[in-house]
Amino acid sequence: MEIWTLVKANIRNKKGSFFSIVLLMTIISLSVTVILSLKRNTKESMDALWEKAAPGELTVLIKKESLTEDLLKRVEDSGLTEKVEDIPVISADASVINDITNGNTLFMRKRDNWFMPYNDRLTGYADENITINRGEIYIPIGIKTDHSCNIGDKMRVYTIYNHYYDFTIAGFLAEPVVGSETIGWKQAYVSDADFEQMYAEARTEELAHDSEVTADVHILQIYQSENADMTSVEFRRALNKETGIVDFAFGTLTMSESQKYTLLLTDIITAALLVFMLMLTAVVLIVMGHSISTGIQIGYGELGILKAQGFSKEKIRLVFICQYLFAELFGSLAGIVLSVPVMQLMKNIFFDITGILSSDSLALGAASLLIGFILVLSVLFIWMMTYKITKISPVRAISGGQETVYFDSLFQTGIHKKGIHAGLALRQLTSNGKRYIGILFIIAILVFFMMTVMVLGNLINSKTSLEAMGFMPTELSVEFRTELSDKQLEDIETKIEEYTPISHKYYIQNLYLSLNGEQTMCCIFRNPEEVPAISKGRAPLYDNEIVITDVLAEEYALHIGDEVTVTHKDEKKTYMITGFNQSMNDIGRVFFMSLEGSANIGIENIYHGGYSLLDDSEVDRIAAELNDSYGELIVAKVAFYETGGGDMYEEIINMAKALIYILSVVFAFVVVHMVCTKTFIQERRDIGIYKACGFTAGMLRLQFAVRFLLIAVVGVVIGMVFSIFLSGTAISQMLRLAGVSTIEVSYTPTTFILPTVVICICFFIFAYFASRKIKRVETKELVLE
Amino acid sequence: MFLYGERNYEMKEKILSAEDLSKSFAHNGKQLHILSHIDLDLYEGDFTVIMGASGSGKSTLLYALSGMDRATAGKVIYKDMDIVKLNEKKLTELRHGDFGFVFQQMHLIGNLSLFENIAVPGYLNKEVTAREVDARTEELLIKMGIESVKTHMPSQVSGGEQQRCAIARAVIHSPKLLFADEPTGALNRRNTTEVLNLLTELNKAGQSILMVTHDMRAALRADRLLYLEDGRITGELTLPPYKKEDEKSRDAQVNAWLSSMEW
Repeated sequence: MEIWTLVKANIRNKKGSFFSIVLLMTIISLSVTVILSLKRNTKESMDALWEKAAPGELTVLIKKESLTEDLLKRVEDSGLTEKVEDIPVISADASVINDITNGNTLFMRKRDNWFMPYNDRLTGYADENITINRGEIYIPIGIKTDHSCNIGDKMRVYTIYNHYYDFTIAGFLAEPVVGSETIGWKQAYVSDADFEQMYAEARTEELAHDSEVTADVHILQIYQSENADMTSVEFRRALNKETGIVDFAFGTLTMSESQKYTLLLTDIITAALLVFMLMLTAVVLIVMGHSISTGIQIGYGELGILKAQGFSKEKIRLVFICQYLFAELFGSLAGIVLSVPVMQLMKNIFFDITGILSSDSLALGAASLLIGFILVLSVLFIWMMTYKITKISPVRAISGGQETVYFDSLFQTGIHKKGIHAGLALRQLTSNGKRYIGILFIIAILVFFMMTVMVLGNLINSKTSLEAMGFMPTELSVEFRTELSDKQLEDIETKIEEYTPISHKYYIQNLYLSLNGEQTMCCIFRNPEEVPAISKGRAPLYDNEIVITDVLAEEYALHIGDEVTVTHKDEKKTYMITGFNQSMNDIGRVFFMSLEGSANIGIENIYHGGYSLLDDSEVDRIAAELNDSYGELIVAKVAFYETGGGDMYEEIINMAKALIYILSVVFAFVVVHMVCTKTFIQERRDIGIYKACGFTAGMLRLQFAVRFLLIAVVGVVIGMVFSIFLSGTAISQMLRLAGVSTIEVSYTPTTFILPTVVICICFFIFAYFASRKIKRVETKELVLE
Repeated sequence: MFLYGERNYEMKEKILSAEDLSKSFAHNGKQLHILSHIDLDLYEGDFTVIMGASGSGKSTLLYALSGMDRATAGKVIYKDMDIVKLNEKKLTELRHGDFGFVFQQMHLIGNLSLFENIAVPGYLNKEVTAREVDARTEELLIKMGIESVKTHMPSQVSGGEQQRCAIARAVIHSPKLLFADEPTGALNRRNTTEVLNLLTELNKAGQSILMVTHDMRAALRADRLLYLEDGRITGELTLPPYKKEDEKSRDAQVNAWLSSMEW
């Protein structure tokens, strides 16, 4: 009872500290609950969708010409397979919605038992018996996210030889295998009549042109036999060994890969946010520690009196624990309650990325466990911080408080008439440095995160950084509808150079090949010296050489100089590894070779060109001009590397930036408020003396604010040093999930200026605001009567 | 009012006047009158001491006269200004211009050296250069006998040295009037004597001083003694300027006066 009375009294008297801890804990609890709930719900919904759609463990994309009856039979008859579902689709090489061209391959199919449209409000599934009318198209959420399109919008789909079809978007689909925004391939549903028409017209074009180009593609859903008992990757390997299906396919996707790609971005976001929240927990502990230690210093006399009255040190420490724990519990509960509306918002953002509609229920179990862990940690921390209470002597406390504070500092600077306020502020800082170490650490953490998220932003907006990560950033992208001769390529380049010189060009083809029996993406370069981001060794200049990514090297335990076998259909050849690089394609599982090298296994053509322009101001006109002049041969589109397909990434990074900045400002406010309040109590007498000596309240408030500005400056510098040394590591750890192991961190002046300005201004203004009580200090308080 | 001794006030210039000064506040629903209708003139060059029993309102009077606290009624006239009505800005100007303060608890800034404690208020004066302030500080440090510890922090020196530093700080800007509230209250005998000697020296050099004390030794230094009882000045004693050799007779005179005041 006596403890409860003291706890109540302390909370009543220290409302500011109480509500500050409540606020910080609310933010942490809210974030932790939302992050864990999103993670759980997305995974559960994905599993449920897979169960509902029941696709096979292996999805194979194969051209009709490669899918011989014999091959299909071999797969169907294999002891490894339970069944094979063969779905004919039409391959479309580009689509345009709301004037935005998408070069990702779209597979058009008829309505079948996989058709799972969402309702119009995207709150659940639509009626399964829905009919698709002529001219209507159903597309996955991933496309909706890329194009920001809605039901009723027009969509133009290009098949082979510039044939296009106009559709009206009738709805959006749940599609477990390639429905996510993070996967390039997409499937769309059209009416049977439209499908048949497209199929027939594509077939006619194929017959009219003697080329490899085909729109006739089959998607095989291959189900593993119950007896096989393999992981989906093992299943693919074993099935390929037995039947060669992967060697003949132009793409495959196992269940585990699909799920990994689907959750890739959300996993990165949640992991990064969770780390940020844990760092903020450290901030809360530091703030609490500061509050406790100064509280003990200020209340030394009262604590001594309590001891004299028979309160044991344990009881007094328990009062502190209860006081702060109560605030934390209150904040935790508030956070959990607030996470209900926030979940609604975040669920929609995750829905846009994964294409999977998940519930908004809270993962209370996991959240409670993590919050409980934080609370236990804080109890231990408070117990540790209140150790000083055991040293309080009642006699000394009653007879005038603790020992005289002895000020001596190595960093003592002189005080001069010129800049007297800054000098005094600096003295107040250096003479009690220990008090501010915690704040410095907090500022450093905040600045580190602010700068890291900015570095991440720079990374996706910097051509050099993207190149270092294995991207090939270009402003103009060209998909070839057919094989182009050197002369045709030269004509295209000449046309472009009528507007602006080409500073860099890539002619490549990405396709899946079998590398030592494992299906792996291969990027073929017309000019192998253009192979990007080589970190070790050299480019694959000769026709028996390849470069592999660090990720592949690690996964397959391969070294430079090792030989590997690459298979394409019936062709097989041994290549030597000449170097390592990195790529974000296929989460880093890519190898590179020259067109001469790929010719050895029957791949003799390139189907993609990328141009980096010296002046990109007329890129729209260039693309239009190319489409007008060479429309039968190519699809040209503007492909700004900053935005081309990266809009969503940029948006996510901007959101993360905003979140981190807002939280940093809130934390700065709370930290300054709490520290200022305590400092004000500790320095009340000094303030009175300064006033008696002729200092105005305005001068003293300025000194207070300058002191916190100085702390902010030092903290910012420490944070910058942290960032310079650790941001790159932190980002590469995060991007490792996406296949990038080395990044070229680039700092712009804004990277340094923005966090500095935000933190310094916040600390200065908040300190000036928090010191408003100085006005109320009266010199008569110095009088003993 | 009992008046002992004689003084020709017409010879002296009035420096500060209180007219019908009262200070009261409500406590537990009752109105407590700390100062009641006080009329008082302070003169240039005087060493005026206010004495009285505990709770008589001595310090309240000191702070009401100095503008540190506001009177409930009445006027405090200084240089044709009513201090009671001055805003905070004007009062601040008075504090670093015309008035100086010495407190019982010294109240030095703990993280400033003795030199800095003295110099910092001096720096506020825009009409004086930093060099002049530093020179004056050095001069005061020597005068106060604390030159050897000028770089020390307050916590590193004795109470007497701290109080001498506080006096130096109070006079760094050569105030017209020095207010001292029980300046020897927290000091031992030896330090008390040192501090009183300093104040006497300052007064001899022309410094006007208004001091509150209940210490007889301090009272002996005054050339004008006021007795406060229940918020009213009930007695006044004027004395010739202090001389060490006259201390015995002075002591007897003050004691007699205080006895008559029922001290």
